[in-house]
Amino acid sequence: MVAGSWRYVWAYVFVCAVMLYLYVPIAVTVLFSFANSPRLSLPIEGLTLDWYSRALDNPLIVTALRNTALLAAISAVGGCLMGTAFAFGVLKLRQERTRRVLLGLGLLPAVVPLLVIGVALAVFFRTLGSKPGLFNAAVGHVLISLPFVVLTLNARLETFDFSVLEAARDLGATPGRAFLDITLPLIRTSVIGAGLLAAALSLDEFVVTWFNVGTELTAPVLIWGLMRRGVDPSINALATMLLAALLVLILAATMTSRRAPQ
Amino acid sequence: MIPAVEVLDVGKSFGPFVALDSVNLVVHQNEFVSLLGASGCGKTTLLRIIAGFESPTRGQVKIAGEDVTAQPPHTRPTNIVFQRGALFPHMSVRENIGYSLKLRKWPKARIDEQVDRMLALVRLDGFGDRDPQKLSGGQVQRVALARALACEPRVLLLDEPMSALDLKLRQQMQLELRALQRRLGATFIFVTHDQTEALVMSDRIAVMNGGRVAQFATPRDIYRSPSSVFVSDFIGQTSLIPCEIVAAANGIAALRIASGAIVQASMARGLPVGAKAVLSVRPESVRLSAMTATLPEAALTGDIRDVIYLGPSTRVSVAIHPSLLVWAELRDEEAVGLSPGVKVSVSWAPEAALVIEEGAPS
Repeated sequence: MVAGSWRYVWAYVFVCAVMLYLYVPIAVTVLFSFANSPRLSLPIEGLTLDWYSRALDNPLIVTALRNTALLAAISAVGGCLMGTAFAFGVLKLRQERTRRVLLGLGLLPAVVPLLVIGVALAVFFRTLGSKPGLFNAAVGHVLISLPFVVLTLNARLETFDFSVLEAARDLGATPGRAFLDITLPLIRTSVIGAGLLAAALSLDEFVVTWFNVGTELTAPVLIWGLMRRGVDPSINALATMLLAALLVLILAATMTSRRAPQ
Repeated sequence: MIPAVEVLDVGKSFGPFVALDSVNLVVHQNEFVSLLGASGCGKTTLLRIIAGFESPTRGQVKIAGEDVTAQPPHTRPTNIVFQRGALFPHMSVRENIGYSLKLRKWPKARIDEQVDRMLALVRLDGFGDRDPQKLSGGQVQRVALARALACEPRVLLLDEPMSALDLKLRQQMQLELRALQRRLGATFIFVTHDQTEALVMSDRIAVMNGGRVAQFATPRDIYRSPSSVFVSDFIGQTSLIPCEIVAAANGIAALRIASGAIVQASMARGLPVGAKAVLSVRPESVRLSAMTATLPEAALTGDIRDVIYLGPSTRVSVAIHPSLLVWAELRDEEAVGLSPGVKVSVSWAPEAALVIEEGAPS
């Protein structure tokens, strides 16, 4: 073999190692969620869906999943409404500098540590006298999804031809009518994509939720609680369900944004 | 007859930047008017003020005698054709054209009928179900035109609708647009930076400069009797020569130019003897002839600098003074024997050259 081929072999080995590092823990969790032995050890003797039915029989897990779904929906809708309005508002500003600064501030929470956001929100709600619970958690979820919605919508609006809106207004459409007839259909796929992304972010959010949700349960909070009492295989089932929901959301988000009109 | 559009003392500032500075313009009904100027002269701002997309800082806009200054675009009886068409990409050609009629709640059958008429008008029969993204540049502009005309606006505004098209297509569209305007008997206001386009299509041209209307007149008057050095320089090619008036009679002035030569030109405005002025002479009016020994001392002579072959004509520059060039545009046979360095005498008919006041408002 010539020297060049050996270089390729090493490259393959390295890529494989990274892939294993990235995916083995996830694969193991998914695998064990179908394993019929209660102990987490290899080799697996047989496959079963028992852990899933057991998880879904557990009222705590069902409540947690329902709350998680609710928060994801609120994040999607709330994040989209606020994020889209913000992206539009910023774009309409005449001053280039103000626009850049405001856009930057809108995106900043994406890099603020979640711990800081979580604690800050908890303190803020306490000052307001709002009891920890799903509402507070929902506010947190919308907050952390917003920068991503703003980023997605801003990217779409930067290529948006505003003269089509002027054309609609010129042809007799009121501002509201022009929005419904022209703007909305043209940005719809981006809005849906951003909403799915917001839902995906909310689905496995733990830090901000933990500080604000109080005694209510969401799937990540419940998993954390259960893990403290040892690893029950139904946790694997719950985690796998979360993973599946996330994959679906991310795939859907990617596909809608790819279908967006240019 | 009530004018179609009246722009009365309109000014517009964006912060410290003055885009329009006291513009007055009265456009008659069924008139084709071009707003002509370089980019930044305020022509598009003026069009957008008439359409209602910008509100003037001061002044008034009337359409058919009615003050519309405070009206939003959707209630004004004007429609605009945008530079790049601005077709709705998610609607078919037919839906695009019928959009204004749908907003006016016309019955479906009548909309279909009108859309078909509009498609025929812009010669796009059978294109109704096309996707706007699959149209060529020329077709996009035709659909935009049909869409703007569908609800029969009193005034059609066109914002450089052909600037994205190539030359051949542009020339063809110019003639079509002109014929269409005649046939419809509508008022068109057309923004362009292309002087040929403005000359070809317009009943009158408003030449704009620095947020003002420098001259508003017929194409012939703009070309033949520019009111200022700016207009003369902007429209067509011209040689501008600083001069001093030495005598004047019957609208013809004798002028002394920097080389000491005395030349003649027509003078519309009576300027006093001794006044400094600018002489404007169009290349096609300039005649060149080989030097003969019998020329009077005051005759205009010079050396040929450049000879540029243009196909139908040949353009020749003559240095009549170290820093003064006069351009002549000659037919092929007239250019025989002319080459750089040759000494020639330069002349023109006095009525073909024009004296313009030096400080005339631009």
